[in-house]
Amino acid sequence: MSNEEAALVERAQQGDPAAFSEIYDRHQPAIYRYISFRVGGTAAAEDLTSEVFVRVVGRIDRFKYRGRPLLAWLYTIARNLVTDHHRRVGRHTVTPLDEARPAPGEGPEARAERHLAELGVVRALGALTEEQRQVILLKFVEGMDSAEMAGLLGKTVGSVKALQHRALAALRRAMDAEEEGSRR
Amino acid sequence: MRRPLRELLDECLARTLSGEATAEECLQLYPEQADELRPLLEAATDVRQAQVPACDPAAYAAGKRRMLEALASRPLPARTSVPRALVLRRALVLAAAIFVIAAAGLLLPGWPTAEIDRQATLANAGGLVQVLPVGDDAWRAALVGERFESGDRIRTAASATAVLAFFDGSTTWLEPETEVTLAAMSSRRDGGERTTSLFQWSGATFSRVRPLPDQDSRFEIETATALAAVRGTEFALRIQEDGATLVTVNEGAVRVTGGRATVEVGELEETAVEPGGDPEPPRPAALPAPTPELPVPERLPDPPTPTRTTAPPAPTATALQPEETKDPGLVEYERTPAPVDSEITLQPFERTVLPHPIERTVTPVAVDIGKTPEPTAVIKTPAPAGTLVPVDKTETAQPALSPEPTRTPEAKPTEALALSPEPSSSPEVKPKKTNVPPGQTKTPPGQATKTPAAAANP
Repeated sequence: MSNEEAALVERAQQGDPAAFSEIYDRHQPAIYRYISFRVGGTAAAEDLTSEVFVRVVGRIDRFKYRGRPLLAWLYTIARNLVTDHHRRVGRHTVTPLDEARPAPGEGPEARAERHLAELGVVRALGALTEEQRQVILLKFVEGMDSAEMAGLLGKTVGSVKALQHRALAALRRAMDAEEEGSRR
Repeated sequence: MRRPLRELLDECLARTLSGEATAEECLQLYPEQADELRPLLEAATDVRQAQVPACDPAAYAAGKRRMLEALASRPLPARTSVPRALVLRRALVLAAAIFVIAAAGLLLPGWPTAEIDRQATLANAGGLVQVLPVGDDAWRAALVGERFESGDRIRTAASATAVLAFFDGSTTWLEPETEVTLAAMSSRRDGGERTTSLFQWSGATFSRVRPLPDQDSRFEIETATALAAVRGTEFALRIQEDGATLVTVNEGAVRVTGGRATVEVGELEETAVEPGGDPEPPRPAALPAPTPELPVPERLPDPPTPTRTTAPPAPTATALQPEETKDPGLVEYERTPAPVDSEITLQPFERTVLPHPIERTVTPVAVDIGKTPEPTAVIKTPAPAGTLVPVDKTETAQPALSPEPTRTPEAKPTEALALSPEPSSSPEVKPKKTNVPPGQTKTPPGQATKTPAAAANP
């Protein structure tokens, strides 16, 4: 966590609304993307993302700097909420990521094909361990390199690379199993 | 020399993600490893092709508004100093109010049925057990006797085991490399409607569940692929390498749900649930699930009381951390709750060599390295205490912020500790305090050991 972020957290801990707004503007998109890939479905992702920041308000006093950025803490809250969500609705009700939004110039067939592929990715991600899933999302959705992920996850660069390797191998297996299942 | 696959993969991913090269071009650079790299890069391509979701602007604004409303309704922290007499008077008034409310509550018809949160206790542990308290962002070592709340996550390191004792007398053993979230623990005030719910992320558990008092009570363990719900039984749940969940029932019955189906698994039966699939029909178990060896104490241990009488050594002192548990905010030290034979005192920026058998009897504790080290730390061991070795202060300046700590996953704990191969041959430093001279031990190596920071858990 940079000094600047530490100062921002301190302002938030003193109840400064502008500091909370800044935290929201900085991190809401990443938290929303993480949750979307975990639960699918726009409405559920929006609700859970909103709940993350409500919890931030209630718990910011408990946040202590331990060498990891604020975003890591937000991911922790998001992960716990996603777990609760899965418990409530059952684990197999994942819906496609963004059904309502066609890509530019995309026909209905291509769109349907893309939805199926995305659904496969989301389901395959569900078969990974939490750490594997997080490293995949940070790498390919957030565009972080291994050093950035190491800082966020509290690991060495070497162990992040090893985790990334295991995660992709597990994802490949899960996606193959998905394809196999859909062919039957 | 052939580079590790993980390095090549990382390099290929960096090149393809930056647009510098295509996956095929990367594979041509490493023809020997192309067969291994290809499926991994294909999986990466599939993920990249998934459309990145973006939040609807109206939902974005609504979320922000909700957060600020929560902030506005939050009680302000007290900032003014209050005279001591007034504080006492307020405390008395508050105590009286609590007494009146409690007395009234006893008479209210709904009071016995009110739902209250319950806890679990770390009843026993062998090896490194860690907890991630709900809302926290850093794992820390858990101590025997520690109470956990709903939402806390618990995990065991390689070769470590733990026993969780729940509020209703049920117990769950955690095998090595197991991680669970205590998703919910509650009951009515009168003890009815007990809920104990775990989410098992990895590894293997063995549960002995007390008979549940009513139809609304439940004990369940959920995984990524299955939900196992029981009503008083003994069963094991293992997440296999391929992500499938295997449930084996020793006594009673377990209802296992996965996909869109539910099966009831009876005594000495088992079932497996593949990722995304329905549970397989129950089949006879080859053997009952073995009862874990780690004993459950008859009386639950008292919660640990943190004290700072013995402080942790400087942060760079030799740390024991499995690769997956490394956290830049934590350094873990060894400790076992056993008798002590020798003792040395560490001053800041000193470290010591510990005897080999200690690695088999450790229960670590965590030390927040963000805090200033206390003046001294005491290390107690059954074998000859090591020789103090001063630590280079420049080396300790930023231990946790280095992106590549010097510890390697391959290094065994004793190797990491072996700063001085011949403890007694180092003339420049001596133990500050020794109860038993080096070389004379009361207990054989490999038994009881105790090291510092027993009470330094933040």
